[in-house]
Amino acid sequence: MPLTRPQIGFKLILCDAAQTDSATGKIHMLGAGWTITGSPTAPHAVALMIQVPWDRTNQKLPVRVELVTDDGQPVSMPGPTGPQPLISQIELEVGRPAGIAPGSTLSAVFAVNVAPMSLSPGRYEWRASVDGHTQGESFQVTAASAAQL
Amino acid sequence: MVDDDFYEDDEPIEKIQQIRRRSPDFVTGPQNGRGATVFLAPSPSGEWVEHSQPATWVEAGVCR
Repeated sequence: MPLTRPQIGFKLILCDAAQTDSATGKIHMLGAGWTITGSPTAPHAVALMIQVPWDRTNQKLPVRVELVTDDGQPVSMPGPTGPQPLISQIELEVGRPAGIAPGSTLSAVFAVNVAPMSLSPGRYEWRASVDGHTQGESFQVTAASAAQL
Repeated sequence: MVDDDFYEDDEPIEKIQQIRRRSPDFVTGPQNGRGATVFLAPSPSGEWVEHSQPATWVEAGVCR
C-alpha cells in the first residue's frame, strides 16, 4: 500500500452549547447530536474538532463555518444594511508543543454558539471548511416551536 | 558547554539515550491557544456579529 500524505481531518457536531478549552485542546459540549429543531431555533452550537498533520503545523489554515440550505445556498439573516449570510471564520495556526514526537497529529477545536434564528421549515446544513476541505452536518427545522419539541 | 553534552561513538547506547531524553532546561512558546469559542448573535442594531461573550438569549427552547 503506497504511503499517503496525512490530510487535515475534522469532525462537526451539532449541540446545545459548546465551549473550548484552549489550554488542553478539548471541547466541552452539552446536548450533542441533535437533528431536529423548531422555529425560532433554540440556542445551539457547532463544535468543530480539527486534526492537523505534523507537516501542516505552524501554517495559517483558514476555517469557515456557514449555514446553508439543502440546496447549498447561504442562509441570510435580515440585517440593518440588508440580508447577511451567517458565517463565522477564523485563521488557525497550530504550533508544535515541546515534547511531542515528530510526525504526531495535533488537534485544535473551534466552537460557534448561535443565537436563536427564525428559519422556515425545511432542511439546513452547518457547513465547515478547513483549508479547502468541506464537511457538513444537516438538521431539520419543523413548523413547531423549539420549545414544543 | 557541559562535557556531558558530548559523547564518543563507542559510548554505551544507554548513556547516549540518557543525554537525549533528559528534560529541557526551559520551554518556550505559548502554552494556550488550541481552541477558540465565538458567539454568533445579532447586535443591538440587528446585524449578526461575532461576540466574545454569550449574550442573553430569550425564547430558549430545545433541539432534538
